[in-house]
Amino acid sequence: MSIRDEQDLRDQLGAALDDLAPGPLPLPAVVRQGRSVMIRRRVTVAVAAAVIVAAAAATPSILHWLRQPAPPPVVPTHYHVTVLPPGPGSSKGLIATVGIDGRRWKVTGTANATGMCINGFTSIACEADGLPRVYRSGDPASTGLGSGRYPLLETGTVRANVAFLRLRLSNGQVLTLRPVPVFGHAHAAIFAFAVPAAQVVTQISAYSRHGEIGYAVPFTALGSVEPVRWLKPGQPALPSPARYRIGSGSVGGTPWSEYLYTGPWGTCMGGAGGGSDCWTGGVGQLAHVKVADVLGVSVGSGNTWFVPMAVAPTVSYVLVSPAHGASFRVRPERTNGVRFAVFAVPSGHGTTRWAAYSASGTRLASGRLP
Amino acid sequence: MQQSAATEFGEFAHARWPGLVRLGYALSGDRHLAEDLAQTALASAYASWARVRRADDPDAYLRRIIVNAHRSAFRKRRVSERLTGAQQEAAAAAPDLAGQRDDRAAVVAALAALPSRQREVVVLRFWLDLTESQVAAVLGCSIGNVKSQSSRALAKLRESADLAEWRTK
Repeated sequence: MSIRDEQDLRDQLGAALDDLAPGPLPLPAVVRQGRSVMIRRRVTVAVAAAVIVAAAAATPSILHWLRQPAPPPVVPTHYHVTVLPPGPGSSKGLIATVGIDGRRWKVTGTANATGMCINGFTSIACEADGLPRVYRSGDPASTGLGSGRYPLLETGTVRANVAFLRLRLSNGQVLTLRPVPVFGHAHAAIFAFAVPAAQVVTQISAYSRHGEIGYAVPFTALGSVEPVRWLKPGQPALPSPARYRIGSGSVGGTPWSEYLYTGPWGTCMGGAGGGSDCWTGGVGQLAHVKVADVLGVSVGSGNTWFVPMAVAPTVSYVLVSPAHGASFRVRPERTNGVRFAVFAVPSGHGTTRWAAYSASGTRLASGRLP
Repeated sequence: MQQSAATEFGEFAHARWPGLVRLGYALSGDRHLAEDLAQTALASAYASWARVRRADDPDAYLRRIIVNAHRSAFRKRRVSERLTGAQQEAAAAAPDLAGQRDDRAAVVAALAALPSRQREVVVLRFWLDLTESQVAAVLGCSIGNVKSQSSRALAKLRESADLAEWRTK
């Protein structure tokens, strides 16, 4: 048989491939592999940060910031922030020129073989998921790559119909952020700003060319600015912010605590390890867990994984068995109607297994990490 | 990942799984590798679910991962086969149907005989019916390159002995 035209080829390919019946989807294996990818990415960010600190040590202007005292106990009240969009003749890839109290930095975006890098004032942050594609539904804006903490550089993308953002700060300043399509119009436009600390950002509003689309009270407690839940213009920002401890312990003599943060942003979880896990709903969403569910894995310093789990009322304890070292039990703690079991295990030393048991010692569920 | 998102991802994965395995099979000619490629693509989507779920075309994201993962798997397989002295050409052309020369095997064998970029273009353009610009976006090349690869692939398939054998059965 010969391929006489394109339609002939289409017919042959369809006949050969359309009725191929694959085996069943191995969803648990997909999820495990997906979590491994997430952990690898977080570890990559941590390693990149270490490299950046080493590189920064050779740069006098950056040393100034490295010498700043570690987390200030009080969020600053006196500061002045600026954001200037690219102008005529600006260098390629420039997203914005950001400033705090007279100091200025250029924030640029560059594409590489696997994704993009944002070059900011204290570091370079990269993401290997390809360039951000244009999106026409979903949240008006989201933050992504950032660097530093005191001060903080934050960048993000906007939905296709968003013309600009307005950022309200605790000192009364209102900044206008104009997203820039630095990677071309097939990709989402990117905005950038710098603030002395995440906590000074009190509100982000998104505007199309026709007016305000919505606003978000971002989650800022853990060092980044995350606009999780978007509200309609005029919609009250509820509930009031609150924090609950869902687990604690110590690793190598260093205490850790994992928290649940509720507020107008929805719910966020974090504190132990790096990053946070947020969702728009309330804590109650977790109450419907069937038996036990690993909510995420965060990577802390010293090669430690912090693992929060939600467990059903039938679970009396979770037995955790690291690849090396003794097994230990974790007793769930009830917070806001949800039972949490949070534990810390060393990472990178083989597979850690967990099993949820009833009060009578019946094994109800089990799994492995990652 | 919160529970509602996990449920949403599960539904997404179930819906995409057959198509992804078929795409992996068309590219690799190996059923087991096809399922590995599909699993890799879905795992990557899981890790970036917040972004994938709101993408205009999540399937484009999955297709790009499958193609890239296949290129990577192909490179690894070539190395391992060189080390073990196995016949790489024979392995690449062999269908997974225990030597049975059925219709599917003939088409897959003809695809396997194409250079990898031409095979990718044929599968994306003529099986998935993507436009030339969509194919270019998945493969990370120009539309002109898609056209030229497509033209060369068609010329080779016209002369394909595998497809000639199928026709005369």
